Amino acid sequence: MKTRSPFAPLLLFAFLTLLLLPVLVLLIWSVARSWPWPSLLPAAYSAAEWKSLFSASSRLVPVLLQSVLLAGGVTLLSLAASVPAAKALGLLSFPGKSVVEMLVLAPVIVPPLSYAPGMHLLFLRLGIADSFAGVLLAHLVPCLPYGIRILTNVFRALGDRLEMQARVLGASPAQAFLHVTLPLIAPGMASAGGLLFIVSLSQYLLTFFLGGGRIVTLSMVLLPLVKDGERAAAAVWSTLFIAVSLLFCLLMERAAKRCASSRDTFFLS
Amino acid sequence: MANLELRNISKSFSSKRRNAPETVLSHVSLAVPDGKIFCLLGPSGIGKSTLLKIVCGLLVPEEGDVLFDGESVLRVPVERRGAVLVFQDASLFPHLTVEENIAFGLKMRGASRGEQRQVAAEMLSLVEMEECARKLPGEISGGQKQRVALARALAVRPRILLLDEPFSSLDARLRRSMRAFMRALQRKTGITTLLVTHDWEEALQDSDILGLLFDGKLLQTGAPEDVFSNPVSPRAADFFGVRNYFDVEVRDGTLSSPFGSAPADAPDGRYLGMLRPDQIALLPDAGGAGSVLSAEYGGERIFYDIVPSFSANGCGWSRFRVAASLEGRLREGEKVSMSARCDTIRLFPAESDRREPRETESSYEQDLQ
Repeated sequence: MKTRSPFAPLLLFAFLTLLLLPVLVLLIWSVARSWPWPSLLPAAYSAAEWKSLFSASSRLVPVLLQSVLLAGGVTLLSLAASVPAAKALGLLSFPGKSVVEMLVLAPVIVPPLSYAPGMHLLFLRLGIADSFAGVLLAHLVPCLPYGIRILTNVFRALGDRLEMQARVLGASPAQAFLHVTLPLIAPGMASAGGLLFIVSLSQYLLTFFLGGGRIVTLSMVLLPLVKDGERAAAAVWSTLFIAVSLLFCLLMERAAKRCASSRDTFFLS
Repeated sequence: MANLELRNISKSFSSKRRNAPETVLSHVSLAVPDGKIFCLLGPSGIGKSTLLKIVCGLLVPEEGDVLFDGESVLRVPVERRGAVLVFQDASLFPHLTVEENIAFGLKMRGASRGEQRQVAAEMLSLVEMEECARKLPGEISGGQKQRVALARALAVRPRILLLDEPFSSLDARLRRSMRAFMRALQRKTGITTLLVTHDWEEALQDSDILGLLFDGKLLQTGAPEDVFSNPVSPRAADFFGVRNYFDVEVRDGTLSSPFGSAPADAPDGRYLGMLRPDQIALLPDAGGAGSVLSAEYGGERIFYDIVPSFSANGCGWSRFRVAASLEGRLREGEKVSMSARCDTIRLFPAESDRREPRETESSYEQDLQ
C-alpha cells in the first residue's frame, strides 16, 4: 500500500507559496498598468510591455544573444578549468591542500566591488577592457569557486578506482577520462553548469565595470528598470531571465543524460 | 602468458602521522612460472595490494625490478604492460552494460565492433553469464559482478592476471564456489596468476606456489604443503592458525620434550618446539598431564583448550589447542593425557620471538588480522 508522508501537504504548500506564487505575481506585474495599494489585483491591465519587448525597436535579440553567449561561454570555460582542479583537490593529497581549498573559495567571500576597478585597469593595459572577452574573463572569478567546489565533491564520491581499472585494461589516460570518468561526472557537471550559468547571468557589477557599458546583458537591462520603478518592464525582463535560466538548466541535464548513457558512445546501438 | 619475476622490490609511502616514510614492501623477490598460480598470503593492510599495483604499473617501486619473461617492464606504461588487476570490489563501470564492460579493453585497443561483440560473447559463455549481457552492473549480484570482472580481465588476453582478494566481499558459500570456478578458469586459460589473500585456507587450496608476506617482507615461499608443514619460523607457522609451543632440549642426538623423547639430527642445545592442534592426541586419564579448559565445536572436529601441567614450570604455553574427532567427547575439567609423535615436532631456535597471546584475545584473530 502506498503511504503518504504527513509532510506532503506541507511540501506542496511550500512549493506553491515559495516558488509558484512569486512567478505568478511577476507575471501579473508584467501586464499591470496600475496596481494601487491595497488592491489584491491590478486596477488596469495592458500588454504594452510585452508588445514593446517583441517590437522591431526592442533590445531583445542583441541582449538575449549577448547574455546567453557570455553566460554559456563562462559556463564552458569554468567547467573546463574546474574539472582538472577539482580532480586534483578531490583525489590527490599534497602539502598545502587545505590552504588551496580555502583560497579557491576566496572570490565568493571578497565582494566584486573591491577588485572590479583594479581588474578594469589591468584589462585596459592588456587591451581587453570593454570587450566581450574581458567580461568573460572577469566572470570566471565569481564562477570558478562554485564549479571547483561542486566537482571536488563529485570526484571525491567517484574515487579513482574506476579510472585505475580502465588504465589496467589498456586505456590511455585520455581514453580513461573520456570513456569512464567523463560519463560518470556528467550529472555533476550539469548541476554545476546550471549554477554557473545563473551566477554569470546575475553579474551586474563586473559586467558594468569591465564591459564599459558596451556589453549589455539581462542584468544590465534589468537593474536600471528596477531602480527607476518601471515595474511592468522589470517584470517582463525578469520573466525572461527566469525562462532563459530554466531552459539552460534543462539543456544541461539533457546533455548529461546523453553523455552518461553509453548508447551513443559505446558499441551497442 | 608469461612468467613473472619480481626482484628486490621496495616501496614506502610518506606517512601523515609520522615524518618518516612508512616502508610497505622491503626487498621482496618472487618468481611465478608460466601458467602457475602464486598466492601471496598475509594480514590485511600490509602491502599485498601495493605489490599488485607495482606489477601492473599503477605504482612505481623505489627499488627493484619487475620482469615478464625475463624482460624488465618498469618502463612500460600501465595500459601497454598486459598485466590486468581485478580489484576486490569488481570495479565494474556502472554506466556500461555487462557486455560493454567485458569489451572495454578491446575497444581501448581499437578492435572492430565485430571483434568486440564476438569476444564479449565468448567471455560471457566462459563465465556462464550469457543471460546478463545487456544488464547494467547495478542489476546483477555480487558473485556475478566478480565473474564479469574476471571475464573483462581475461578478454584482453593478459600476460599476467592479478587478483586482489577477489572474493572476500562475498558470503562464505558463494566464495567457495567462486574460488573453484576461478581455479578451473585459470587451468583452462593457463594464465600466470598472482593472487593475494588474507584467508589461509583459500591460499593453501588455490595456489601452486605460496608466499607468506609479513611486515613488507616475504617470510617463506614454496609449495603449499611444504610451507604448511615446514614453516621456517614461528611467525610463518602462525599464518595457518593457532600453534602450540613448548621447550625442547637436544642432547647427543636425542630430543626430549614434554611429549617424550626421540632421535633428532639437530645440534645439541635448547629449542622451541611446535606442534599443530591436529598433531596432538588426547586420552581421558585421571592421572594425565593436562585438564580440559573448554571445548569449541567446529563441525567436523572439536577444538579443546587444554591446560598442561608442565606449563606450570614455564616450559610451555599455559594453553594448548588440540583438534580431536567428535567421538568420545571430553567434558570440561576432565583430566587428559596428551601424546604426539616426537619426530613430528618442529624445532625453532630457542630465542625465537614467540610470546603467548593474552587470554582475552582470540588467538585466531590476533594471528591473522
